[in-house]
Amino acid sequence: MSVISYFLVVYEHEKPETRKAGFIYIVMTHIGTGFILLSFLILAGGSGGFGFEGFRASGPTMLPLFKDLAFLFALIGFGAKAGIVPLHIWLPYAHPAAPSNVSALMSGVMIKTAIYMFIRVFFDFLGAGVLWWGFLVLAAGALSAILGILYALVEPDIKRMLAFSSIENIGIILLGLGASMIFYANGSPALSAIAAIAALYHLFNHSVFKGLLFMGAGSIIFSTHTQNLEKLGGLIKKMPLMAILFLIGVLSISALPPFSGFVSEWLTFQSLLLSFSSGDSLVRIVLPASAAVLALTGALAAFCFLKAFGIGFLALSRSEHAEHAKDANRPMLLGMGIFAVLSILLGILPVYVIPFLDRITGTFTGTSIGQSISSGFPGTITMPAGQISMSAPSLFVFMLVFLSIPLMVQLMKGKKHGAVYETWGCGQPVSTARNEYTGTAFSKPVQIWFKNLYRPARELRAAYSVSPLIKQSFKFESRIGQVFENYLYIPVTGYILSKSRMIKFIQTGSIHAYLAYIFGTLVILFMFVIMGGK
Amino acid sequence: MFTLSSLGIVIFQVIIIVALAPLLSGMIKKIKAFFQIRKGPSIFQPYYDIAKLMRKDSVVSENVSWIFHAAPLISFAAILTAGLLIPIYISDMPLGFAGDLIAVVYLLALARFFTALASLDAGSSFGGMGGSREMFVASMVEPALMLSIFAIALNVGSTNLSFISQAVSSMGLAAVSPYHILAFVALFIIAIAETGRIPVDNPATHLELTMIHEAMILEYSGKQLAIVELTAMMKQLLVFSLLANIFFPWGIASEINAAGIALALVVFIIKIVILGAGMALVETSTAKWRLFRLPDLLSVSLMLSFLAIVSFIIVRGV
Repeated sequence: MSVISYFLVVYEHEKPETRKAGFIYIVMTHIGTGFILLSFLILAGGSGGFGFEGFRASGPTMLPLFKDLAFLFALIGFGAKAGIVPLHIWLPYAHPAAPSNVSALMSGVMIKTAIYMFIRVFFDFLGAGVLWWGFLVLAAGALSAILGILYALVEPDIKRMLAFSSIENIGIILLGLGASMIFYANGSPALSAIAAIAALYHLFNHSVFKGLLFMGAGSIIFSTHTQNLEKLGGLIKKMPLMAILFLIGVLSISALPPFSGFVSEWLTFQSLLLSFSSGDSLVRIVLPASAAVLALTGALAAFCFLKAFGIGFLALSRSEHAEHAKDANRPMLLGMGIFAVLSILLGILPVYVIPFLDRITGTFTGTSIGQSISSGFPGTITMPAGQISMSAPSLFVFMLVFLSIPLMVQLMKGKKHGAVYETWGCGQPVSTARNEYTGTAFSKPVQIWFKNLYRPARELRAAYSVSPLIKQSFKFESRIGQVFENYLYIPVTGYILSKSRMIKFIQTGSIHAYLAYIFGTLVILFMFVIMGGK
Repeated sequence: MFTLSSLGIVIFQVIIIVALAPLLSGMIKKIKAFFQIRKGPSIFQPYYDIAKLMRKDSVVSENVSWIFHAAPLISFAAILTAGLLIPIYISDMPLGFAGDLIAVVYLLALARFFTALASLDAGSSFGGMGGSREMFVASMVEPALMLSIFAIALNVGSTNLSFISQAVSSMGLAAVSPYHILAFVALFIIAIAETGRIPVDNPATHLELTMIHEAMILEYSGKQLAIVELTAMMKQLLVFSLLANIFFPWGIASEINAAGIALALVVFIIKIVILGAGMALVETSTAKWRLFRLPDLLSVSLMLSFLAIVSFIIVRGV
C-alpha cells in the first residue's frame, strides 16, 4: 500500500518539492512498517502463525509484557501510517504534493486503514483488557487533534491546511477509540460500543467531507492555478456552484448542525460523558478533560474553515488568477455533489447509519447497542442514561420552519435589498482587495495565544530609493516553526547522518573491496551456522 | 406524544423569546444606568430601536454575495431552534427530545459561524477584525463551556435540559453544593463572553479598535440590522435562561395550568433581572480587558469547572 501510494505522491515528479515529499513519505511509512513487523513478530511468536487466526489465538496466551510491547509497536507503526502526532510529519508534505484526487483518496481512505488495524490489533488480537492502553490512545488522540488543528489554522496553503486537518480528525477518531478501550477495559462493553460507534461514525464522515474538500481544493487549483489562500477571494461569484458544495464541506467539518460532523462529534462528546457512570475516579477526571480538548479543537476547526471559506470565497478577488476563475466543470461538480449530498444525509439521518456501524462494533466489543440508541421516527439518538437524546432531522425541520418565516415576510413585501453602495471605510474609498483582511491576520489572535508552540519568526525589510525617508518597497515574511520537525526530527536525522559519515570510509567505491565484504559476510554466516545454528 | 397543548407550549415559548428579549436588554441598560447614577433610556428603548430599523431602507455593500443576505436569517433560525430546547417557563419541554445542552451549544455556534462569515463578505477590514476576534473568543469559550456542561451533567447525570431542571428543582435546596456554585460561577463567566459584555466586549462601543460583535455587523442596516440586533438579544435571553433554569430552576412550572405558568413567568423574569443586575454590576465595576488578557479570564472559568468536577468526585466518593 505504501509503495504504490508513493508513486501517487510523486506523480508530479518533475518538481523538486514533490520528490522531497515523496522521500519523507516513504521514509516515515517504512519506519511505520518496521514497527508493525516487530509487533506482528511478537504476535506470531505466541502461536507460530502469521495469519490473523494465529494472532487471535496467540493474544490471550501471551505474557503481559509482550502484550504491552505488541500494543506499543502496533500503535507506533500504524500511528505513523495514520499520521498521529508526533509521527505525522509526512502528511503535510505528501498531501499537497500529490494531485488533489489522490489527496482525497489518501485522506479519505488510506489513513483510515490504519484505524482499522488499530481496532483489529487492540481489540481482536490483544483483547483490549489493559486500562492504560486506552489512556495512551486517548492522549495520542487529544495531542493529534489539538496540534493538527492549530497548525491547520495558520497554514495559508489550502492543501497543507486540509492535510493538517486530517491529523486533527484522526485525533478525534482516536478520542472515541480511546474512550471505547477504556470502557472495555473497565468492563462496560455497552459504553465501549457507543464510543466505538462514535469513532467509526466520525471516520466515515471524515472520509466523505474531507474527500469533498480536497476535490474542492483541486478544482480551485485547476481554475486559479494557486493553492495559496491569500491569493484567492471572491470565488463565490466566479464559481457559485462549487462555492455551495465547498460550503457544505466546511459546515460539515466544523461540526455544525445539521451537517454530518455534528452528529459524530455529538456522539463523541456523549461517549466521553458516559464516563460518569464509570466507577473509576481517574476515568471520571481524564475523560471530561479530553472533552475540553475536543471542544477547543472543534472551535478552532470552525475558526480554521471559516477562514478558509471567508478568505477564499468571499469579498473581492486578491489576484489576477482568482479574478478570472471559472466554475468547475460538470464531472468535478458531480463528484463533489455526491459527497455533499452524502454529508447532508449523514447529518440528518444518523439513525439509518448507526445500525450499520453497530454490526461492526458488535463484532469486537461483543455488544450490540445500535437498536437501543437509535430509533426510527423522528430519527432520535438516545443515550442509555439520563434521557439524553438528539434528533438531527427534527433540528433540521425546526430550522427550516424558522428560516421560512422571515423569508415569507420578505417575499410578501416583495422589495429588493435596499440601495447598493461601497463598503464603509471611514469615509475613504477603500473598496480594493489590498484593503481586505488577510488570512494571516485573521488567524493572528490564535498565533499570539499559542506563540510558545508556533514560535513565529518574522522579517521586515524595506528597500530605500534615494533617501532613507522614501521607502521604495517592503518585504514582509512570517514563518511558523514546526515544533516536532525542529526539535525532534532534524536533530535525530542530523545525528544519524553524522554517525553514518563516520563509517563512510568502508565505502571505497572499488568493486574488489565490495566483493571482499560479501565474502567476509558469507564466511561469518557459515561459521555462525556451524557453531551455534543447531 | 405530541398533542395540541404541547404545540401551544412551543408557540408560546417562541413568542416569549422574541417578545422578552428586547425587554431584558432594556432592563440591563437601565440597571447599568442606575449603578452609574444616570437616568438612562426607557426599558422599552430596544423595542423602539427595532421598530425604527424595520421601517428603514437598507444600504448594502457592492461586494457582498448571498451569504451576507442569508446569514442574519440563518442565525435567527438557529437561535430560535436552540430556544425550543431550553426550558423557560415550563420544565418539560415537548421538543426537548430533539437536542440536549451540547446541541444548544452547537446551534449557537452555527449562528456565530454565519455572522462571522458575513463579516468577511463585504471586504472591509473592520469586518475581518470582528470575525477573527469573535472566533478567537469562541475558541476560548468552548472548552470552558464544555467542561462546565460536564460539571453540571456530573451532578444530575444528564445533559437533557428538561431533565436537569426537573432534577435540580426536585432536589430543592440540597442541590446547592460547592460544585453547583463552582459550576455556576464558571458558566456566569462564559455568559459574559457569550453575550459580548465587558470585560470581553463592549456592546456600547463603536470604536474600531475595540469592538467585536459591532465590527462584525458594521455593514448591516435597515431590516437586516433589525434581525441581527434581535438575534443578539434573543441569544442573550437564552444564555440567561440557561443560567437561571439549570442552576435555580425553582418556581418553574412542571405541568400545564394557567396559574402555574403565570407564576413561572413572573419568577423567570425576576431571575433574569437579578442575573442582569449582576451582569450590569460587573460591567460597571470593570473596564474592558485587552483581547490577549482574555485567555486568563476564560481559563479561570475552565479551572472552576474542573474544580467542580474534582470536588464532586471527592464529596460524593466513588
